[in-house]
Amino acid sequence: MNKQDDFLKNLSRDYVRPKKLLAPKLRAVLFLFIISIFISVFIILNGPSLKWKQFTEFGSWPEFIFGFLASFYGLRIAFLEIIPGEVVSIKNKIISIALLALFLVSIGLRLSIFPHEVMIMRAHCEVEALVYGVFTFGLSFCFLNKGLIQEVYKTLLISSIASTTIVGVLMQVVCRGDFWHGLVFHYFFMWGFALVASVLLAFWYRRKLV
Amino acid sequence: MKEYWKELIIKSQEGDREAFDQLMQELYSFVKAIVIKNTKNIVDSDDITQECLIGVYKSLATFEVDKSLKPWLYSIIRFKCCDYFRKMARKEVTILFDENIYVTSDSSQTNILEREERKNGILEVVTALPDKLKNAIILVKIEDLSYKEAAAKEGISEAALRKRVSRAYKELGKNFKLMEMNLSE
Repeated sequence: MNKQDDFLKNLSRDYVRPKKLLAPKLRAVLFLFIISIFISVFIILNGPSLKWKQFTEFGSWPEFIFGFLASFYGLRIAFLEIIPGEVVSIKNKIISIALLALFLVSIGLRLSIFPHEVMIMRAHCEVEALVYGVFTFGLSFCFLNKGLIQEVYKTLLISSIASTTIVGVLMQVVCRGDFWHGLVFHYFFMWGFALVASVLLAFWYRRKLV
Repeated sequence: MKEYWKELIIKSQEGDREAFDQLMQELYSFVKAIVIKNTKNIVDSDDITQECLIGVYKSLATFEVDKSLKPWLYSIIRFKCCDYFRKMARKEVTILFDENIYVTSDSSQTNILEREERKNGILEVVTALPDKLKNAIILVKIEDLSYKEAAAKEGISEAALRKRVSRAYKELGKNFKLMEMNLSE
C-alpha cells in the first residue's frame, strides 16, 4: 500500500459528518445575541443595574445602533472570510466603513448631548470591560475556528475589533462617565486589547499551522 | 466531472462515508497536479496535497450547494500552498528538485546556489514540455500510476499514453543535453 492509499484510508476512517455552518449573516446575529445576553446579565449582576431610562435617552441611540450595526457588519465580513472562495463585496466593505465612521461620529457627538447629571460611573469598569472583552474575543475565535481561517491576521483583527466594540457600546450605556472616560476606558481600551490579543493569537495560530 | 464532485460533496455533507472516500480519491490527483503547478515542487507535492485534502475535509461544511465548486476548492489549495511557502521560508531549507537531496542552511553558499540553479533548470525543462507530454510523465513517473490508470485519467488508450511517455522522455533527453551545454558554457 503506498503513501496515497494509506492517507486516503486513514482520512476516510476518521470521517465524521460535518456540522453544517449557519450563513455568515446568521452567525453574526447569533454571536451578537449571545454576547449581548452574556454582558447584560453580568452587568446587572455586577453593579448598578441597567436602567431602562439610559436606553430611552435620545443621545444614546445613534451610538448604540451604529455600534451594533458596525459590529454586525465587521463580524459578517470576518465570518465570510473563513469560507473558502468567498469574496467580500465592495458594497459590504463600503457599508462597514460608513457604519464605523457614523459610529465614531456618534461617539464624538455624545459629549455635547449628555449633561453631567446623567453621569453614572461604575467602579472598576475597565476590569469589567476586560473580562467581557476576553470572553467576547474567545467566543469570536471559536466561531471563526469552525471554518478555514485563511488570512489569519486580517480575519482575527476584524473579528476581534468588531466583537469588542460591542463590549464598549454596552459599557458606554451603563457607565456614564465624561467623554474621555468613555473613549479611553471603554473604546480605546477594548480596541487596544483587541489589537494586541488578535496579533498574538494570529501569531500563535500561524505558527501552529506551519 | 465537477458536477459529479459536487454531488459527492453534498453526499459527504450528509454523512455518506463512501461518497467522502470516493471524493478524496477523485480529488487526489487533481489537487496534486495543481499543487505541482503552483509550487513547482514534486518532492513535497504529496504532503501538500494531503494538507489540501485535510483542508477540504475540514471545510466541507462551508461548501454551499448553490455555489460553484471551483473557487471553493482552488481557494483551499492556494491557501495550503501559501502555507507551504511560509513553512519553507521558516525552515530555511532549500529543497532541490532531485529527490532525497536536501540542502540545509549550513551548507556552503556556493553549493546551494549551484544546486538551486540546477533545480531551476530541471524544472524549466519539465514545465516546458507540451501539456500532453507533461501530464503523461507526471501521472506515470511522479504520481506513480499504472499506465492503465493514467490512460483512463487522461481519457486515452493505454498505447497512446505509452507513446506520449516515450515522446516525453525523448524531449526531456534533448532538453537536458541543451541545458547541460548551457551550464558548461
